[in-house]
Amino acid sequence: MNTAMHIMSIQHQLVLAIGKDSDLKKMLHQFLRLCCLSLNSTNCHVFLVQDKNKNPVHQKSKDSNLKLGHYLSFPMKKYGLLASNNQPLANIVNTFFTNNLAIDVIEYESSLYHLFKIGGFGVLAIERKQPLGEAIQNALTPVLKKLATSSIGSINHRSLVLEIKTRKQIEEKISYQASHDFLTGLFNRMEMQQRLAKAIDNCADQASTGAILLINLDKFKNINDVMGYHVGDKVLRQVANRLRHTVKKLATIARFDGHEFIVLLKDLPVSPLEMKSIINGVIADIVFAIEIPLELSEGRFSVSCFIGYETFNDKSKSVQDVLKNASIAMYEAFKKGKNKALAYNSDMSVQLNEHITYTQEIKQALKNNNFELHYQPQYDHLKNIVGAEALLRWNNPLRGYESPAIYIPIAEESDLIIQIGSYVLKQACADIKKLEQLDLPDSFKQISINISAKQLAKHNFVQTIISAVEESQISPFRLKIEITESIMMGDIELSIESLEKLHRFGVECAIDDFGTGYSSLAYLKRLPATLLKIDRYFVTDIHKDKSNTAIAGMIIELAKSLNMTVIAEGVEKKEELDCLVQLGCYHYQGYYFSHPIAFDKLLMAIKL
Amino acid sequence: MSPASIIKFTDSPSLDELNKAIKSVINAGANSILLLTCINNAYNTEKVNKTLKACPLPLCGGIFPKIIYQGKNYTQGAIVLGLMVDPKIVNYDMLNKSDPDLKHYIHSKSKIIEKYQDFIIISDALCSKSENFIDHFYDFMGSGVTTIGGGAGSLDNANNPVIFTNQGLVRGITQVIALPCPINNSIGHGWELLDGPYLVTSSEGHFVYSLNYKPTFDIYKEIIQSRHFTPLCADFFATFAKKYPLGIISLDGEILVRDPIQTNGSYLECVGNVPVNSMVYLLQSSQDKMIDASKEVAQNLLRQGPLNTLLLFDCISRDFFMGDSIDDELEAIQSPFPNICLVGAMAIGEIANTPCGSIRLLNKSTVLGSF
Repeated sequence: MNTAMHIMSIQHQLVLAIGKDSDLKKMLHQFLRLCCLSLNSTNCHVFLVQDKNKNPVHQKSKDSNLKLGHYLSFPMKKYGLLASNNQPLANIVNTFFTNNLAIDVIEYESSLYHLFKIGGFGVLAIERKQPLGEAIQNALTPVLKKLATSSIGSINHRSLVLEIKTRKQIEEKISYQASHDFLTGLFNRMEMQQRLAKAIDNCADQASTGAILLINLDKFKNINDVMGYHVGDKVLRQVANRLRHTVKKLATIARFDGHEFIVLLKDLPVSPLEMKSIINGVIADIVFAIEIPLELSEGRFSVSCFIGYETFNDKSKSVQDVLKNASIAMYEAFKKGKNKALAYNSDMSVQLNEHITYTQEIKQALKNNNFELHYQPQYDHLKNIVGAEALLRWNNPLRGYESPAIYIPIAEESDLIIQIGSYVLKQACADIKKLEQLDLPDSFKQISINISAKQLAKHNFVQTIISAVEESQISPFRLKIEITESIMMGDIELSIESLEKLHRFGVECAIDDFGTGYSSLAYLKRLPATLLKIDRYFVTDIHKDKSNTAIAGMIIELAKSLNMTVIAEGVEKKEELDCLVQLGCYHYQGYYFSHPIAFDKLLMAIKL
Repeated sequence: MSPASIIKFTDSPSLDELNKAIKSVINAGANSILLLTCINNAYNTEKVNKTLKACPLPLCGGIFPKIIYQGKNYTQGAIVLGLMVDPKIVNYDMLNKSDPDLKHYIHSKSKIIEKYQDFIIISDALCSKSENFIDHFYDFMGSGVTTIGGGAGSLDNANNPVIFTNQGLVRGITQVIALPCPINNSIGHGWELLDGPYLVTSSEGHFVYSLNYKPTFDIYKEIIQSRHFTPLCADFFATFAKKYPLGIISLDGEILVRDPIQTNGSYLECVGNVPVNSMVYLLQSSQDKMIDASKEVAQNLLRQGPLNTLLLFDCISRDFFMGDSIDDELEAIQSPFPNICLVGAMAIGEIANTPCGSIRLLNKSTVLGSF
């Protein structure tokens, strides 16, 4: 009677632990603990069918070699060794699992393992020093049935929870992706625009000020071009981290576009002085953080930035207004160069509008053929014309001839410089064709044109020149291209490759403005250039300035040693000419000989 | 065999005497100190903390109702065991956590002693989570470890700090002293079944609300009254509870004693958990049976092999039951070891691993260890 009651008591204690927790591990832990206490066992273990991620499953796989994996033990160890590492136990359990018995007792190393199947997906192993009576073993059968049912419930619950969790994670991921920049993890432009809209509303409601800082990485493109996008991406990530670290919780940061970042500052004081002081502090921190060289596995990189910012304190400016103004200020900061940051003011818009109008005018001029080529003849010491440099002139219908110093830099900001370059090339080739049809003196060699950095960087630069020459049916030797030292050094390997191709074709190259670019003389030897042009800076008053005399002398010697012809630009006085002759320079260009002249005048000059 | 410990005893409640004893064992070259002192010493906490913090050696131990020295018990005084081994002492102080957190806390805090197999455990008897601690500790350490220990504190429920640490006296913690040398242990109690079984139909932790669906105290009272024909007077519980504890019998016939310590006229509160659906019995014993059980405990330990330091945790409620005869029990335990000094404490609940291996909180029991 007492034994029967005892067995019933044990059954009830164990059943009470089953289903108490929907978490399988917790439920089984409680069950195994009670097994240990009520059945006087040393250790109790559960082995279950598990998927490849070690998650228990209650459906038997079709794989006949399926093995049960250790899932839980109470206590976890025996003599200090983890039950999960007990291979003999795993073997005993798996052997039992594959046989047809519902219950079995195996003796192994002074322990008795009482084995019970949990449904068709698990085994309970009760380890004791003495055997469990048959009555208690049989009494455990209904307990095991309930354990199996409850375990299935827990496993299903777990997979449901996992599914919900996974779905939630996916939703969170989608939401994150919608609002964040994939590369840097910062907010993206769309999220920033929404936050800016809220900030503008809040400023109006709370009588505070906000600011948008637009940050552009200077010369970042060089890193992308030279080192590749993977390095550029690393740089952007590091800069993003530095920005994040610098502004911390003070501000919201986003990657706006390419290498532009945007910082939103909120709750700034209304007082302009206090507000500016805070903004300047933030800007100083950002500039400092960005200018620290970046250490990457590909090398050490230095980037700098320029910043434009706009403030807002009411709803008078829309999101787009604020962003546009910050962008204008950033552009002004870039143009001014020395200033790292500028606040927006309305004059900038006026200037920008003028700039845009001017750009439109250049476009129109190209369409209307308002550009002309003038030529500045080049002479030898015997006053023979040896060539001429084509120089662009814009005969503006309203303002007359514009200075190239005004429109060339503006054209260089956009692709207009390419269109202008294309015009110059075609026109020069056409003029050369006309020259070739005349009886030219032997001394006259060629017409030279200037090449911009953007032209040189274009992948089809060489082919464009060759095509122009071929289409015009001129001798390639009559065309010379002038490239400044600094443009050539931008991507020296590409320059060498392009110039070599042209050299093989017959188009020669001159190095323009030589002496100001401080290029590596080692590269000079590799360049297939035939002409060095001494910059006018060293020619002006060469007869008075000893250092200019020395430099010009060095350039002339250098050209000789490289078998290059040398020509002096900007010769305006006889004294300068005499000095150059003394130094061994026998080709000249400058007002002393001739101003740039229209093509028909050039023809006359050559005939003379 | 070189001694595993240097023992200094004083029957004085003076803190100066304790200081002297501590200095003495330090000078004798001990590597760590285990202190067993009496609650009646009433040490000034501030002063004793100064002593503890100044101690250059790892220090542990507790304040108990009584201490045991060479077969006698003392209500005042101190025993300083200078351990020659270098134990790892872990103080578990965050025992008020909910169960899953407690498990994680105990498991992570026990990592530094996971290679040890032999432990002395001293816990603040007033800490209600002691048994939960023991469960989780056993889960982590596993079967095959050897443990002895007991609950420190006073019988008046005063919530004073009773565990010695190098940071001072602290309350509410369980202290585990992991020894790098083997411990042998032996446990017994001398209680036998009187009446039952009764099904625990409602309980929570230490509180047994109903047996066979009736209020626990009603059943308890009826059984006792049927044997003693005594009215339900004011001191009924105080008189009979120490004589008739509850017992949970294991499948293998071992009795786990649960000592009732109070009632509200309906439930019984015991020292230790009584699970729902377990079967409980009323137990009885006599002085002779208890002394016989203690003799058996000593003989059993003697059979286990080399002996060095003898450390006894004897339940304070055995002292209440036996009165003056308690020294007979202590003498019975000491006598098989004439050349070894028996030291220990009268504890509020004892801790030891049972023959099946699990660590349990025991009541009205004798836990004897040697190391």
